[in-house]
Amino acid sequence: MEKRSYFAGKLLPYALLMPQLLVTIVFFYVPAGQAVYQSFLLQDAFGMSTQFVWLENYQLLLSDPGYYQAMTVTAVFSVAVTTLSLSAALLLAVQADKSLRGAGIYKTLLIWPYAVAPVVAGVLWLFMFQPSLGMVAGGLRRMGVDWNPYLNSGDALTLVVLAAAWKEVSYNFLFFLAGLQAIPKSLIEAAAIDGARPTRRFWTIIFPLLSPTAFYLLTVNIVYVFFDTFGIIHAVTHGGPAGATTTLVYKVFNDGRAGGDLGGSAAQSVILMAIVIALTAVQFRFIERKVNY
Amino acid sequence: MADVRLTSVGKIYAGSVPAVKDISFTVPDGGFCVLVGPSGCGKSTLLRMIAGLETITMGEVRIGDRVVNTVEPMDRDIAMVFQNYALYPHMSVYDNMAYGLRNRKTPEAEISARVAEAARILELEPYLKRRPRELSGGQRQRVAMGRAIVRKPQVFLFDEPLSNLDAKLRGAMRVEIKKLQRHLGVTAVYVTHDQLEAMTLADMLVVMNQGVVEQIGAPLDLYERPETVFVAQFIGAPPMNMIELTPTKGLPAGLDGVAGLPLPAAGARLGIRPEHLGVEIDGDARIETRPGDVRLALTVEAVEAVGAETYIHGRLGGDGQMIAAREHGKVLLPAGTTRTFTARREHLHLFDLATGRRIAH
Amino acid sequence: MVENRPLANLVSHLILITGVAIVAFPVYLALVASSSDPTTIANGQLGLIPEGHLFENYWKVLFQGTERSTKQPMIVPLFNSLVMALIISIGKIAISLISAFAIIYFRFPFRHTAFWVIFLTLMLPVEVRIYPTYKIVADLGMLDTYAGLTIPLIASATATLLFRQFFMTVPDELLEASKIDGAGPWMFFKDTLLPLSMTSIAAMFVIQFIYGWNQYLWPLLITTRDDMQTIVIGIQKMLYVTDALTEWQLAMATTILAMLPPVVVVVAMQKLFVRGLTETEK
Repeated sequence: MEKRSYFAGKLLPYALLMPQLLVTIVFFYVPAGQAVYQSFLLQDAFGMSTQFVWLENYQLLLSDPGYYQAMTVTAVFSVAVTTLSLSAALLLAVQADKSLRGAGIYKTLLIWPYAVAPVVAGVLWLFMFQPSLGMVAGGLRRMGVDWNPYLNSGDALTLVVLAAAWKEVSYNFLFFLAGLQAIPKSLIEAAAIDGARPTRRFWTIIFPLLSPTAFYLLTVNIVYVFFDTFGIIHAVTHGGPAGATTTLVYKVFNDGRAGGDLGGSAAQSVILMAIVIALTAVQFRFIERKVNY
Repeated sequence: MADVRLTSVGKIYAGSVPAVKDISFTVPDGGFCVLVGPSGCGKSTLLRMIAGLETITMGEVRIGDRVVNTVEPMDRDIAMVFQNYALYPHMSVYDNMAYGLRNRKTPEAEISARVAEAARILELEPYLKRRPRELSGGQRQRVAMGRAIVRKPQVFLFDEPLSNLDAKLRGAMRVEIKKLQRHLGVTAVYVTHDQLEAMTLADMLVVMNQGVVEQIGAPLDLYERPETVFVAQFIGAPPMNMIELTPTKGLPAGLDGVAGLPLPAAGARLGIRPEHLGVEIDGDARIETRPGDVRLALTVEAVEAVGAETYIHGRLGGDGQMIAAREHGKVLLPAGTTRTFTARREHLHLFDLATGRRIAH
Repeated sequence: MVENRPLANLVSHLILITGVAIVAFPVYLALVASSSDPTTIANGQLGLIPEGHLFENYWKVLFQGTERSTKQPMIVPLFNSLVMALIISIGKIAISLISAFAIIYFRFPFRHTAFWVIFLTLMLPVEVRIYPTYKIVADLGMLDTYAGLTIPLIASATATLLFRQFFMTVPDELLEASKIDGAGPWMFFKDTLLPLSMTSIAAMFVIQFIYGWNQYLWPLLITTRDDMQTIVIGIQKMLYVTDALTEWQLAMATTILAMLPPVVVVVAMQKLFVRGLTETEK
């Protein structure tokens, strides 16, 4: 769709686009290009000489068990957070969609965690689960659970999963609620007249109609787990213990900073870029509508 | 005040067929010109070229003695009323009318005088502080009119300004627009697809079809002497009946009295307006047959009585094409009966079958 | 819903109340902690009733700083976060508005290219280009500056898409009427387009303010000086001491301070926020 009328300016549109394009090129495309270029280079320990090594950085990476561990952690982390936050959000949204008294208040009380920074979420949950003084950790100990996220890999992963999922519920809740409210009431009434009971109505009518929303949220949640949870991990576990919570993004950060392995870090960045592009391509089905040039 | 003169105006969009082809006419100073035609005939494109909203790819548009082909819309000294009114939704009625004047650096005192005058004429005085969304459709239409008249332009351009109103309001506004234009004496170019609006408003009617002008003239001249089949059928409701006469194929059954018509060898179309088909009503209105009259035997299929008149739809010769007739008063013929309908020779229209152009007879 | 069954409604209320409780509990606990004294927390004796040190703790965090970790009064990073969030949100809105205006209301060579160049940045989050971007900012001498904190984050495909989408819905006739009324591009933008975009702008502001306020990785990389810290980074610094030494009551007060502004913005502008979110991302 195009506008029928427009202005005749020749230089003005370029001037208007300039700030955006300048920032985009200088801080997005150039660094992304450099990441790709660097991933083909090998630097010696002192940064004195660099050498073009083709795919050696990638080969090294793919033969590094630490990288596979990070991949596994990221996968487990994604599945756990996504499942937990999507199902909790759906459960809450379905209740809030009923014309209950006070539905508006519930909505307000459920959406604000969207505004909470991931790192804040991490700290809030760490405080509850801190082994020596956390309230929930104390409860677990009294129940005989030996809980220590500082030492136990499973405990550490559980903690960051809980914190990450807690924050993401509000976003998912909002979209599920919007999706539910977009389903015409007449459809549900028709199904009721056709004799479908509430549970059956949910699975045969509502859930299928909600699946585009769910699918969209799935990709958004995966992107969230990949990138935005960096703050939680950095503040709460530092990727530990023993790499149990080192996700791909955390590893890029850590290897590039501490190790100074710029080539390896760049190769990791490029792989991440490929993952984002793949996810965006999937999501594109939904963005298409607003692009349709 | 100025006339609007179009010379061989055409519009071609890149990589497509011409939207408007070789159009020339002059709207005299103070004249009311209506461009009418079916949707997609190019009438809006032509209006927008006069306004300066579309580039002119061929020919020349003059307003007064100035060629305006490359003049910006704001400098053409025109005002335009849009179909959806295009009122600025965030501005009050007053500001909507004042905006164009402010952009032209008109002194504020002059602006408020002009807006007050327009508001008085259009009876908008109580609404000057309101936003467009707080007004009814008719009131919005008036604001759009007001925005045009405060500018005191040389030319008014109207792009289907009444089509978003209901039928009753449309009738009332039609009268008001005409009155206002007479009063102000401003040249007007008005686009519509509604032939009733076209007939009642125009001094000068331009019928367009597929990017070309079919005929230009006074509304009743077009009605009485349509130059083409298209004009004949576009103007008037129900449309003119058209019966194909091809001597080589034989004449349709139920048709009598066409022998004297000057039919070309290739064939012709015979046009008869519904109101020119008279029927005898059980002997009390005998129609005296004169030489040259055409008689149609119609088998009645439907009768629509609307009070002052009756529309009768019947098949020519029992199973031929549908023909519509319009009679005064109540003529309640039972369905299935066959009657003879008579048309006077002077009311017959004859068109060339191939070219669609009028044939003198 | 079709049926109106009191029991089912009761269950729904219970589920929602449980949800709200789980969502709110960690924050409530932080609030309680920020009102207590260090020994109560260290001994694991923190209860569910707020104690009397609330004002004292917040005063200390804001204006004096912690004793053992950062030793910085948090009013400075709080201010930095505010500046950063405002520059990012206003900057994003400004440059996205004008670039969407150019793309929609002008015809020029490379128009589609420009759109795609902007659009494809969706695929390049800062996390995948951390070090090269860091190096560019360092080379430009923008480390430890507000410019370095904000400008690299200011390009936004999301906002450009939203405004582009909104401009598409503005009737063509408004532009045509403006032209006849004698308005050029700038006047049309200022007098008509901008007032009409106000709701979209406000919605975008909420989203981008939160985005800016909650930035973590980027400020972590490019700020080294304490006086350029943001509040979100400040929290992490407080935890970054030996466990036993963490002053939890102060850390929790900081946490509450760090989440308060964006939460207030979301709750106060809930309608706009929901609109902005569901319209841009879907």
